[in-house]
Amino acid sequence: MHRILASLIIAFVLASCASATSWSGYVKTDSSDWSIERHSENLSFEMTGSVKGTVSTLDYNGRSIYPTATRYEDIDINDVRLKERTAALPGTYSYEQVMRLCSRSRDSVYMNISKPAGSPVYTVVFSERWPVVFNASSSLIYSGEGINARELSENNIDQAASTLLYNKELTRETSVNFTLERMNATVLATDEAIILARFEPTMSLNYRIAAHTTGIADYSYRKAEPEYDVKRSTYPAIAEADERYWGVYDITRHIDMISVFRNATLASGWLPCCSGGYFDMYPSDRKGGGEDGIFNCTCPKVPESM
Amino acid sequence: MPYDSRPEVALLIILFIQTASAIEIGFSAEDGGDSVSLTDEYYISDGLSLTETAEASFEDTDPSHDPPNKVQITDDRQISGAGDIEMYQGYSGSGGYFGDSGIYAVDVTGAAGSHAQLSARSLNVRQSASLEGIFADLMLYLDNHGQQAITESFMDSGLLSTDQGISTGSAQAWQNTHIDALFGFAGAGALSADLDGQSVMATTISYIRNGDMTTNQYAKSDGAFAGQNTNFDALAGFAVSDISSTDLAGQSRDAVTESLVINGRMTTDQYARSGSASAGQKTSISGMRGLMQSRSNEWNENGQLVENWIFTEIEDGSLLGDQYVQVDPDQSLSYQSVMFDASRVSGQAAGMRFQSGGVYDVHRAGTMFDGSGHVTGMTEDGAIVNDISTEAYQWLIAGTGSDNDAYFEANAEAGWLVPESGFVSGLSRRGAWADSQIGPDSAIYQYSAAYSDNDVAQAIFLSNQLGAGTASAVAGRYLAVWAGNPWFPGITPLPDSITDSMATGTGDWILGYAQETPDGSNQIAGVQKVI
Repeated sequence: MHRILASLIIAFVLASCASATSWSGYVKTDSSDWSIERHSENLSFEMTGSVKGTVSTLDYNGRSIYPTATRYEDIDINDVRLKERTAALPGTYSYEQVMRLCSRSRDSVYMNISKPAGSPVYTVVFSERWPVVFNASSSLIYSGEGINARELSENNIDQAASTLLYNKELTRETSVNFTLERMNATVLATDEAIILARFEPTMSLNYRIAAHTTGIADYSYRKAEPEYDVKRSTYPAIAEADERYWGVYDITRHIDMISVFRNATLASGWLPCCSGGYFDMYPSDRKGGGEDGIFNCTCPKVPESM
Repeated sequence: MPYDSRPEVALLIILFIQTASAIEIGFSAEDGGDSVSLTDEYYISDGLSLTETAEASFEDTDPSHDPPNKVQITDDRQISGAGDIEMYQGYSGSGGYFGDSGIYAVDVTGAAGSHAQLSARSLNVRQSASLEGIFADLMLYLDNHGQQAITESFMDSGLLSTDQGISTGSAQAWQNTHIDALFGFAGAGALSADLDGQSVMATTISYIRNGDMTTNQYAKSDGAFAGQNTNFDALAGFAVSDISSTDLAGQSRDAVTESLVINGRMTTDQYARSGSASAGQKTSISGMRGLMQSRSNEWNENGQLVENWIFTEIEDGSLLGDQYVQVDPDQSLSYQSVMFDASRVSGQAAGMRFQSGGVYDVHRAGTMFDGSGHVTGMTEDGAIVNDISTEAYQWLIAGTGSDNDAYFEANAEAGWLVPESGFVSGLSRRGAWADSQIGPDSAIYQYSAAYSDNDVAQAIFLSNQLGAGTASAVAGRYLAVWAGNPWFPGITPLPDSITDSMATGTGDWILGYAQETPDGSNQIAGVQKVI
């Protein structure tokens, strides 16, 4: 086993997209407002790496420096995010990682506004096709005085996260596969107020983790509904969970989140049942269908009696 | 008075004051440090439909763009139906420009729309509308690093059809507009100003009351330029092109050319230019009243205000003419060539030079003609002012008709204004004045000229009279009453003046001449029959 320096910092920062491609939009009424801001870039990124060694004391100019191994990682492109923070005290440390990222941001972004005669309601639609494909897997093995390892995987407004604290023995295998195909955002508003705002990224989040923990293990996930809560300025969760485990555990988790929304430029006759899920369907589209037909991605069959 | 009644030359900019709640929508894009932004505000009646599509693109496929634009927004919007409209669109680019589009209408039916192309350093907006109703106003504005351009048209109670645009690249504004309304206005303006205090501004404006107007207007900044091609058929129609500039020394120059028709038709081409400011006009008028007028003024390097103007006015007839006015540091001039056929006609060419420190040292030269009855003829008028002398001249051929009583008079005047108390109703002048007039049912050929400088004032006329009249000349002090039509002083000799008069008859060639120096010496006044 190789000895490693007392302080080891590995950081990959892809978050600095300020000079890259971006767009923003907003709708403001007398009583409420809504906004969106997106950043991306034409980017292809691939990285593999491994670190194996012992976190140990370093003598420098006659002084003994207390050793830590830290790791900081931040990836953020078009709201596809991976954040990882690791800090290890003296012990044996092994980390391997494979990461691939591909994004495109050259396609046009559209804003459409319409208000039919006879109605006070404006419909504002923002359409973007800036795809992102992101795959990452990592393996962490530690044994020693203690290690904290936190990671957050987020694809637009959906996320999964783990926080592993105070582990003297830790093994963690993670794998994330994100895709973002396009995004539509629709706002219905009058002069006085926003009636409805929906954020509809067509995306998938595939998250797997298997860990042996000896300290505190926190796991969470959050699947947000596309409809904006104007009063709270947030997208409420449609499903979420927080778990905490103290002690020695072997934990595995596999989370798949898929959101498919109709392209705003497509006709409403497009198959709604096989895209966004039952609860995202318009009431008229639910007719004759049910949850079963949604989750196994088969279209509902209209009963013969109808 | 034509001069006094000249409407204020300024673009009327309707402020789009938000009178009620409105929705605001924004869209912006950025790539590689270049950015563009679009902002909409809408307050429109429920009865109107609206569609707008904006595309932010990040790849420039136009090979004419060198270098290619990193980011662009193209926006199209259309509104149609019946109701009230209050819509605004704002534009900005990281290159430093910003612009506005506004449509404001009350109780209208029709459609309006716009097309905008934004990149970081350029903006092109085209806006059009066809609206009928109580009121409609469309406006575009652009500011590109101090170069500004604006175009606006509006109507009250009628129909407005307009196509207008603005663009960067030394800011430009234009419009093609047709208005048939109780009141209509169209104007385009351009302003270029720098931090050193230099500025040039050009505006071109036309408006009507109760009638029809078709106008093509253009304004351009950075050495400002303004133009107009307008047709009127209205109870009243007015067109003006104006230039104003200020140089590094803070000296200002202004030139304006304008035309007016009351209850009739008018076609006018006008332009204005800056640099050494100039203005122009080519106008045809047929109506109850018609007017062509040009004016200019400047401060020369000796601190003197140099001003000249020229006009011709008719009643119940037609007027066809050219006008030109020029202002430069060495010489200002106005020039006019006119043909007329009217029941009344009057014209004037004049120049003035005000010494610094007050108007009491004003030098003035002018010529005037005034005819009534059935008057036909043509005239060439000019006024020139420089820092040495002021002069005005007319070549005039006119006929008074035999179909009704007619009268014609022409005169020339030159002199200095003298401070004097006790003449409340007029002005006391020292100078020279010469006049010839004929009576009814005859014709006249007339030439007159005037000249004034620091040493001598001279007034002269030469006439070939085909009718009876009286010729007079005055040198010395006289009361000049600024009254009547046209705006030219009536002359009343005072006791220390000398006067000469004689009756004239058909076929007489009459020479009238008057001269005087500033101190009152060397007075000469004479009228004589040459042939």
